[in-house]
Amino acid sequence: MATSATSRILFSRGLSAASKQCLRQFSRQTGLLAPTGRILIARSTCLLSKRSLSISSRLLAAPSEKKVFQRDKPHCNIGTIGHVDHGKTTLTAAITTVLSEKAMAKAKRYDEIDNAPEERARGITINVAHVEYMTENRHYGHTDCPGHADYIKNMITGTAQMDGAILVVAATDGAMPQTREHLLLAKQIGVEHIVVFINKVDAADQEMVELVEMEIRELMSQIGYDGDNVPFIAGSALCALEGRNPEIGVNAIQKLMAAVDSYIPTPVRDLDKPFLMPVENVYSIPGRGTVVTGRLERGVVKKGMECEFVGYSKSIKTTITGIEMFHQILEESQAGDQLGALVRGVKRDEIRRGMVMAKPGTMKAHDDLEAQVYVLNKDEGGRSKPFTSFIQMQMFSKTWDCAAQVSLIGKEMAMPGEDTKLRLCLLKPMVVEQGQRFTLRDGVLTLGTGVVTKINPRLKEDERMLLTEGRKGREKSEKAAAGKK
Amino acid sequence: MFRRLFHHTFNISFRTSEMMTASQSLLSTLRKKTGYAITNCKKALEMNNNDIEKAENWLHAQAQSQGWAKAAKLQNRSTPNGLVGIMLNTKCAAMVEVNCETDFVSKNEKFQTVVTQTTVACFEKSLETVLSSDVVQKSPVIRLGFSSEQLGALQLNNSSDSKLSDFLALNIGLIGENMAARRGAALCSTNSNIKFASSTHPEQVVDGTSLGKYAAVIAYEEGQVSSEQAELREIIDIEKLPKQLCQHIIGMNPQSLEKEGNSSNEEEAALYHQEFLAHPDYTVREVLDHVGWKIKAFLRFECGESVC
Ligand SMILES: Nc1nc2c(ncn2[C@@H]2O[C@H](COP(=O)(O)OP(=O)(O)OP(=O)(O)O)[C@@H](O)[C@H]2O)c(=O)[nH]1
Ligand SMILES: [Mg+2]
Repeated sequence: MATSATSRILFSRGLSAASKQCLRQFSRQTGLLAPTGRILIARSTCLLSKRSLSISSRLLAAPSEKKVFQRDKPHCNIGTIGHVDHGKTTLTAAITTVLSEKAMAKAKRYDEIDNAPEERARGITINVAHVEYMTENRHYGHTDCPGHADYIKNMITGTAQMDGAILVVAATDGAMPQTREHLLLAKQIGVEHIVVFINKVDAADQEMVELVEMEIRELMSQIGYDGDNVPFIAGSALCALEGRNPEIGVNAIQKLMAAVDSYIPTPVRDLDKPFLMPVENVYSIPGRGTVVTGRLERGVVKKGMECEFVGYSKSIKTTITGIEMFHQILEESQAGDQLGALVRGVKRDEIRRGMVMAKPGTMKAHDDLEAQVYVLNKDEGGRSKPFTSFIQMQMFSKTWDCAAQVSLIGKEMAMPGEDTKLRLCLLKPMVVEQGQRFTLRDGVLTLGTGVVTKINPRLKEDERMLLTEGRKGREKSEKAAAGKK
Repeated sequence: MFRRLFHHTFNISFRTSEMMTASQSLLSTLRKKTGYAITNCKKALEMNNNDIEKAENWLHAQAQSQGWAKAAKLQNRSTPNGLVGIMLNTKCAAMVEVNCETDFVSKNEKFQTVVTQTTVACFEKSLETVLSSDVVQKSPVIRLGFSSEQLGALQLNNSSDSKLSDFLALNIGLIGENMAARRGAALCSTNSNIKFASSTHPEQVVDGTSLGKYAAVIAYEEGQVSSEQAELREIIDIEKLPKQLCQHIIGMNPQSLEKEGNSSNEEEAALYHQEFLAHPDYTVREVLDHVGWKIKAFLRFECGESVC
């Protein structure tokens, strides 16, 4: 199936309409606007079934789709986090209202954000509202996070990925006991930059505001943020929303967005990174040589560049001698493009789906990983039983899949519907990086979806031998060893 | 709630504190010491002419009544999260479920204290019941159940005049989320042959109480080995077995000990017929027969599950 889809890309021009159709359908299913829907698709391909996975990667290649999403400003994903009732949703509404006056956003009413329909994406229920707007400098995707367990799930599965966050704290209450947990979680999933908005100053005085600031700085430093340098803005989201008291209303929102613009760094664009293309298919074209196809995930490739194929314990260096897209010869191709690359002097059977084609030396294969995983429950397509350590599962990531032995860290078993930390030992080394997303499957069922949090050194030979031994074998030898003592 | 409570008349009294930096102020000291919302600390100082001791006493007194007010205000908010707590000794194993609104609160120390206190109260009450009951124990294991109201009426162990429901309300005021002690249950026995074991998942031990999203307790009896299996001898670790059985109950959610009818559904849901989670090549019955144990009763709580 993947073959036919890819060859359509290469050999026909009729796909853009189909992909638009597909995007529309996806938006309808998920209740998301097309632009946001695209972000979701781009960020979460790994959980989609293989079919929609290949379709969605096609989407990014379709030229007509580029119009949907204005790319003239750098993009950044942020969100509001904080205690119940401290004003996250009011603030989100206020930001869009203030920016809409400069025609940089579509003003959203409070209830438009708050009553966001429960969205179902990729079989996992999420309940976050996505809003978009612009400042002078950047384009933002904004997630108004609910303060409950779904938030954790969304973070792990990548639905609510954020490059930075606005912590909202009401001056009337101050830091709440659970503010610590909010910050810990943000830190854990890699939100390194936080701007603090002290809200409800219309109902507080200067001394209270100072006290809140002091408390939060202290708390943030404890957790490992740079508490002394975190920007603090005090204001009233409600005043801004209702157009009252501009000094604590509109002006505070403008100050807040200026701080967000300058303090939260723009994520490195995929285009600026060393090139990387997971191999989807390999063809041998008589008279020309070997062609590999796939979607260029990062960077730019040009004819004549050196490249390296990595995966399945192999590494092959060669040169790209030609690039094709939509059945046309190109000089260069960019991240997001679906392409075919002609490579010099490599036989078709030396390269396999699941390897990556990358700038030489930039990608490595690994076989011992740690990951944070959300275990799907039965309603989400997972299984109803828990699993325990030393179970073998199939791990899917990018275009590869590989058997992996799973062991639980800090738990005896993993229940459906919970998030858990795992160690994954791959039977063959594959290209993975920290932050890479993947799914775990057992036969036809998708058991879990997760993100790689740590890469361990390669397994030693004896550790590798143990992988195939299974649980019972382990228990027997453990018990025998204990008996000898 | 306390919005705009400081009036101009009070300005004079706290002018002095305004001149200090926030870190040295009375407000900051009081807030650090008590942890009550900033507006309330402010009001306490105003009402008590900046006498920090009086202010603190006033706050504690207010907190209880305010806790009740807040609890009343929040009582309709749903509490799908929370924790289950277990406590046991050789005669009794008790467990409770306490709910809160968000997962963040369930990770919070204050909330965990609420759960451990509730567990202790339920445990002591169960123990007292079984020891004082002059009914001759007909069945070797007695089951007890506690409703939300019954839990609320329990006395906290450290003070005889304070009820669990007051403690709960106080913490609702402090944490700002609705909470509820939902249910409790216990297995008790005065028969010394009966042993108890428990497990929670994910397991966390706080002050001698084991907490988690799930909990299971078994009451079992050791006896004659009826059929040993060579391979099981090689893989079973008898010290780990009681806990593994509890984990099995958490994971496989059996509905009964033995099947009564003949349908295969029932077989799947009967503990003795299930594949043992820790050694899936054997059923629970095979493992129990191998070691000569009998499970007399079990309890399982899953936080937030619907109960009939
Ligand atoms: N006085 C005052 N009230 C505010 C301000 N901002 C928000 N509020 C009020 O605080 C309450 C809660 O605001 P929300 O925006 O719903 O809070 P939230 O953080 O989104 O709450 P959850 O989504 O339930 O976690 C509402 O009644 C708002 O009107 C402010 O600047 N001043
Ligand atoms: Mg909200």
